[in-house]
Amino acid sequence: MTPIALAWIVLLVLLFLNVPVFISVLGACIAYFLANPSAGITGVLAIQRVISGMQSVPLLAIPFFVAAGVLMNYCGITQRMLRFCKVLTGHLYGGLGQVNIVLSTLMGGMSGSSLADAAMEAKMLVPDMVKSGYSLGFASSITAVSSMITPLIPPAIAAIIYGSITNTSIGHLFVAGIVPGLLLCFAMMFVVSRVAKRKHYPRLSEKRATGRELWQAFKPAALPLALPLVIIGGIRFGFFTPTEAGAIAILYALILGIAYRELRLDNLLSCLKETVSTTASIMLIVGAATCFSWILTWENVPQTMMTAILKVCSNKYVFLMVVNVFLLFVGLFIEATAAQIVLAPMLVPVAVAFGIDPVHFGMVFIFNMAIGSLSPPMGNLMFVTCGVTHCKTEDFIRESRWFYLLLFVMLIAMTYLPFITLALPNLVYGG
Amino acid sequence: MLLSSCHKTQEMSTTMKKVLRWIGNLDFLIAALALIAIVCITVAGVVMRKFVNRPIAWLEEMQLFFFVWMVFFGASVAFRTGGQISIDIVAERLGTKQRRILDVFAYLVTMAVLIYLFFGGVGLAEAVTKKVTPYLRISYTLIDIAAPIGCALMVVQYSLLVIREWFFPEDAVAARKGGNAS
Repeated sequence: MTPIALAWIVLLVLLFLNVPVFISVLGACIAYFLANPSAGITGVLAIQRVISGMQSVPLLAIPFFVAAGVLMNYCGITQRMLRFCKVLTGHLYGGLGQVNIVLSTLMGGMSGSSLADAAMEAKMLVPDMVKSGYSLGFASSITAVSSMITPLIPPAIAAIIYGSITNTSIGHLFVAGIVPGLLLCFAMMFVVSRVAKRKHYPRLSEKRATGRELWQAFKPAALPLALPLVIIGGIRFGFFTPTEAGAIAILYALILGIAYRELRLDNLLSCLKETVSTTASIMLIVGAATCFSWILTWENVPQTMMTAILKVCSNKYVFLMVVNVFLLFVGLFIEATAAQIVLAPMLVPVAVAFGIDPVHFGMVFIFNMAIGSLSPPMGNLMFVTCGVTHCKTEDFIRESRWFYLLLFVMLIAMTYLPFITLALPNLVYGG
Repeated sequence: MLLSSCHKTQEMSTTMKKVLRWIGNLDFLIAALALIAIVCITVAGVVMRKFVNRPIAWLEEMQLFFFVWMVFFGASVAFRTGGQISIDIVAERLGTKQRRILDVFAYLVTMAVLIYLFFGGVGLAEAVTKKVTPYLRISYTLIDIAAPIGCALMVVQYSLLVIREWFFPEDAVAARKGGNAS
């Protein structure tokens, strides 16, 4: 067995055996070093790679946007959003389900992580949904699937990581996520409305809210809702970089917290704790994956793969199809951040050689990887949601079938209709 | 005689607990201070560049310096609060006994990797004593030393977590809940 094959096997085995993701990836690297002593790689070089993977200013945006999202959550802004969503969609079939989806979309503009969003909504909305007659599986499923919208709406952690490792403009990626995010939101609302009608899930109110009621609910949510505009606008007009936008977002959240009189020392401390812990987990995976990716480069895997892909694919449409199937398969087994760092630097040059826009390719990549987090055996998003709601994985999957179908249709649409992702950035940036 | 020694051990253990709690929060304190420092200098950077028109030259190296410290000390916090991402699909389906074997395995693998990294990190910190950052001339040893310290802290935190979960299960549940809420 070649050392590199050994590394892959060790990686998969460790991942399945409940070893923390970053330890699994580093364990695979160490297995490679031990199996291939002629390479002369030592622990010193390994840790150096890990640290060098973290030392990137664009990646600093991760703790910033995590902190901003957590702050908003602790400052009661989530509650304001929830009230607004209830008034906005209450008259639709499957009221609470619709609220769940719209809340994910709006919160997407504040936090960059789908896991945090899923955990929060599973806690806040699922108990009420079950009380009003939803099956536990369907309620959990709506929560988890709607959280996939969060990483599409800016700010998005996946876009930050993709942009920083492939040298793609993070500003463009941010804007490119908006249309797919909104499309997904409307499509999911449609599915929920059909299912709710058939299963007689209740509406929240019989009548559509009046303009006055909407305005009353919108006012307290208006300032938080303006944050994505501040971020996108600030980056677009060169006022600040995406990283600096993160720091500004924290400042904005702090000011809102003070203005709403919800900011106290104790919730500020919890906020800091959650931010450092979440950021560290993400960054350790980033560092470990950088080390693994370095081994692959060492072994000439990218070149070998590029030749193989070019041999199989005659044009870019075939290439996109092959990449999608490959990524869906990989996404089933490997955590999205790690997979992104290892695979994106290999695939993006090939995509560019085929004349595919890296921003378009990035959105397809990010969306595809997000689907993996919803499906077993390694679906983080699914596990987090089911962990909070105590829903069985089987029930979750059965109730999610329509959503899976929807996600695949959406993936194909995003892959073959580049204007879905590219129209808005071209408009905003005048490309 | 016997009684007094008993009393003494108890006193010792409370002091031990206090020391442990202090160390346990020290990692959080350092990570949090690093985060606050990064946010402050980043905002200051925007202000200096846009309004004062004098960009801060040393901004990037200080950001990355604090970032590394924040990540490695935050990693210890993440282990303490059970925030590390792992996949428990197999573990969830096992009986108590097999589950215990799997936990031991995961623990040993994690320890082995962390100890390997610790020695790598110490070696790295020793190797870069002469290398300094371009503007403020901070030694890279000071930056890279965060990695072995972080690894050592993770070893301690993970061991404490495992000990608590295996020998004092009720305590561990309460602590985890407390950790999440506070």
